[in-house]
Amino acid sequence: MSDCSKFLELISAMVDGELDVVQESELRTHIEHCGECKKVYEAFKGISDALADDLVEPPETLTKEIMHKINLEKRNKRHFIFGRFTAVAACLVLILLGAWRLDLFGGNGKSVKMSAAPEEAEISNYADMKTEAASGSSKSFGLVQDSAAPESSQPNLRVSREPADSGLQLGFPAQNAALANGVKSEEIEKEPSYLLQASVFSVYEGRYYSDEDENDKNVLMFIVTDEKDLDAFSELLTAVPENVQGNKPEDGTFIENEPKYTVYVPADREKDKYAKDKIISVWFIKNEIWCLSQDVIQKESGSSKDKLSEEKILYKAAGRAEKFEDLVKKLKDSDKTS
Amino acid sequence: MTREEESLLVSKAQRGDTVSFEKLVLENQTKVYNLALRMVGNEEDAFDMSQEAFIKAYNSLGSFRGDSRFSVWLYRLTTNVCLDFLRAESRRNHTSLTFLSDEDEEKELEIPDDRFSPETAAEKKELREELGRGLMSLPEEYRLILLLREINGLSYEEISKALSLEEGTVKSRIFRARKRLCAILSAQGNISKKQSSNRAKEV
Repeated sequence: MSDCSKFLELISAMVDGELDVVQESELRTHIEHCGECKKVYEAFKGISDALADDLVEPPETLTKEIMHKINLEKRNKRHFIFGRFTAVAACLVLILLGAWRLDLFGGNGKSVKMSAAPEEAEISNYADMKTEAASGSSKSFGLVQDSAAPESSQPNLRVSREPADSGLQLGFPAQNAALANGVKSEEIEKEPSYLLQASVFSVYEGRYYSDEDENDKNVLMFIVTDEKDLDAFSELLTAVPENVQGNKPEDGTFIENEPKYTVYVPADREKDKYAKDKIISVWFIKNEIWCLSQDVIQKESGSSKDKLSEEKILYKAAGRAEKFEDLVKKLKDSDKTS
Repeated sequence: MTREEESLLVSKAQRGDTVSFEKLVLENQTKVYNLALRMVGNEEDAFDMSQEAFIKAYNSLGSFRGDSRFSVWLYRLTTNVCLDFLRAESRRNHTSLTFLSDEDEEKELEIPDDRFSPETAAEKKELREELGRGLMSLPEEYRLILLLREINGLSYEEISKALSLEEGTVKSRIFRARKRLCAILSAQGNISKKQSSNRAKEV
């Protein structure tokens, strides 16, 4: 036996297929003639077979529970990149806070009152936080009262059925105001800036159900993580600064229909801890893309529901519906092959 | 799943695609679960350990570099999760973890006779049960390395990466694990032989 002791570890390695061809064939030859070593080989092999043979199936719920926990954690720490916080963005916030009323679109040419102080209570949290920082810069930005909507056309986008304080904001007033004040259009950030810097979009078919109980009605089509695709989407979904003029559709009632798609844009809370995830519903009207953007307010601890902000921003996007559809198709197809 | 397919899923998951991660979970759950089960010895804890391992894996995807297969990295995580658990348990129970000792090297290899070519289903079952008990009696480090080899099918190279050991150490440790297991089984076998012969006497 002691003679063979040098073989024992090799036998173990051979059972594991870790010997080279020469070593293995030599050892096998030895084993054929050596009863003791053969016993060892059979023991080790027997253990190996018995163990490998004995795999049990994990409980069915294992994967489900893992993914559930992961998705919960993920929602709690979504990243939203607030974007370059320029004076323009600061103003946008101020304006959203209160000054821009739907009356503007009432067709009677009433103009907008710009004020530094928020006039109503619907304040999304990030706006809240920025007010302080922003209040200084708004003055320097030089907004004036009665900024004329371009003389020619009365914007005929009306959301007449919505009461004034429904929180529905139209267009991107900062850009419009800025344009009206002669700021060059290249200097204006195309809102929504968060789109430009998000690292993930989830794209759903139709409506997005934020309620935990209804969450499984959500039809997730694909998740966009590739930079090129993210850029492409962003291009299509960013607002047209001049969206106030020459509006189609005639009124905003289309938003009562189910959107064609919904895009979920997670926020980067490392950069801005008050940032919110955004939900953008997308409709196609003729060949235009119309979007309704809402914030996902942080849910209270213990609650499983996402709360959506009362405030919604309706805007016409820069893209064409057919381009959007092409992109969707491309991503759907590529997802199938993976 | 090929290494390429795995790689693709991993990079998608690294960028937040939980659907891809789910595919990785499905692919690896059996091996992870079985590894955990044999490490901690019961289904409930194995279930918890498996979850923890996958969730940890998801949360630390950023640090996965791709120089080994994802599954290997995952098994390493699993073993760490299980070892932490066992250590905590042993502190709670005031028992100590068993240690590797050099005497393993000196002792002779005892092979329990005739047990390793089970033929009937009943014999196979019996062997599996004995092995299961034997495994739980092994020191954790031996158990761990044997399981990675036998359950998870890792090569010595992969094991050496997973456990940060030299390949030579992997080879000898596996050998000693088997040696120790055989000793345990011999002892178990002798005990049961004694018992059956005692019973025989009583009859």
